[in-house]
Amino acid sequence: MCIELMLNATNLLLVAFSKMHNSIACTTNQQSLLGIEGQLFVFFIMVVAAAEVSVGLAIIVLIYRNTHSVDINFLNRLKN
Amino acid sequence: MNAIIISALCGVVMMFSSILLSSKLAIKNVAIMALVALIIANLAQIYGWYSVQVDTKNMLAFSSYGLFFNNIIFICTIFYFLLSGREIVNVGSDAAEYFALIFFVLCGVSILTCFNNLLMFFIGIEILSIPLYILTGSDKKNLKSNEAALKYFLMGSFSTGILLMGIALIYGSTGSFGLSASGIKSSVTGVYNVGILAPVGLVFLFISMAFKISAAPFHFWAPDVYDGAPSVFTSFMATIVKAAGLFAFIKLFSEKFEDLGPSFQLLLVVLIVCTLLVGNLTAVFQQSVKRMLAYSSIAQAGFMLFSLYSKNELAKEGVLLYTAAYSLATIGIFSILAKMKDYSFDGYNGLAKSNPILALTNTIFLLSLSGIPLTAGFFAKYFMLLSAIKAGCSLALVLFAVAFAAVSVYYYFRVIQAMYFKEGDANTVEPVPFSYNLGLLFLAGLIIVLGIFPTSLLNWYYF
Repeated sequence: MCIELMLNATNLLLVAFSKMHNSIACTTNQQSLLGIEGQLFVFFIMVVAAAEVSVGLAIIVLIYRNTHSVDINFLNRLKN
Repeated sequence: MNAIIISALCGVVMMFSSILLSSKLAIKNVAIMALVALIIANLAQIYGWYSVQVDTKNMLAFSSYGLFFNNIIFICTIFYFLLSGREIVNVGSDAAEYFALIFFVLCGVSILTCFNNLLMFFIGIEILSIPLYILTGSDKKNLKSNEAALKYFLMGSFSTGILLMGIALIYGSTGSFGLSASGIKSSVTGVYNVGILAPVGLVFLFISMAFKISAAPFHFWAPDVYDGAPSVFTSFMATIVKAAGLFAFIKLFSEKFEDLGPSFQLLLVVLIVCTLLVGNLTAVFQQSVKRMLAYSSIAQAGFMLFSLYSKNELAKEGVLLYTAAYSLATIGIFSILAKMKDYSFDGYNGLAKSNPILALTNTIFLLSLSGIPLTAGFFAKYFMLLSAIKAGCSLALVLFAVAFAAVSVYYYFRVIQAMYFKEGDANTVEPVPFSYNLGLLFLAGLIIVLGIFPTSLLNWYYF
């Protein structure tokens, strides 16, 4: 959930910057496509976020199967 | 381009081979053959033969340096497959999937060696990391493996978030994702003044890459993850993935951000000092060899960071040599570790009597890691430090690094001492086939050859 939020924040930022660069470029040239790659990047982030979340949820399901809980306090086996 | 396409295809082939083949041994052999095909395809590209011509709009730029690095990585992987293949297929019931995931990681590596755009950099990092989260948790019934996977996933995604924020900020100030865009100077004729964004973005990128290569003070996940993951995959993560991450780190910061000035150098020196200090000092106190190796890999990353400091030709050669020396030795040590029944130092007691070949090769690998002359590790460290001196690094920092190389001798020699000078029962190690011994001896021979003729690797690079 928090990871999703972090990635979506970046998405918003990218779109905003994209718009900003585009509007600067449009003052000289109306048809300018400058700044469009920022919006393209957003699609890549969405795809990667989906892949990452699916792996993350699978790991959590794995833990649930072994401990019958998703309480993180069970996860202290690796401390010295 | 060949390596990227073929490695992704190999991954798909491995996934299908799990349907078609039932024998684990056959799957392992298919994986080795696929890897050989990958090496041939990569060599073909070095010598100018392309399978497909793709116009990447300058998002990928292939240099002979990057392709050669690919080759070193692939050759290390083939040693890894040959020595640890048996353990890989025995981790769980899905033997072919592990190989498929490893091939996807290699695809990420081959993108990371040729990116010329922050978009490709991001994609490469993600293709590299996501299969690793799965590999870490592949021992499904083991709670330690699950915990390691969750920790790795959370830390990895967190650093991805920071990475993306850094990229977004740099984009905001320069208006381009390209590495060849004029450094951090704005390419948009300045209407708005957004100059402060770029340095902040760079620091974010720096932090997230330090996370990925587990440099102190961003190393907290590494020992836990390396300890919890199945030994074979720890070996893969600590060598091949780490070297590729460092390569990307160096490539990113030496190409795009040359003129960052003294503040960046200071940041880097702090990172190197912390990494050497924390990695070496904590490794001294470990009781388990696996955990000791995790900390030692943090310390070795500290040495590799010297090449980021110096950024000259010598450093580029040093990275190649260091990657080869460190990866080969660590793959060897881990493949022996996977045969041991007890991972503590005492588990190695009396190994010299019960299995002299294992003990001998393990000794050579450990000597190479600690940087004793006549092994590859010595010249790797030597190249790194020499390049740093040539780049005007202060002598104190170099002496500091040498002092910590001496500290590292202590914990590597503890293993050697346990193997040769302590009595132990003979049943500490699983029986190993003859071909495995032969592979280990060949690997040890290679390390010694690289230690005596370090230029042989570099000559191959130049011709």
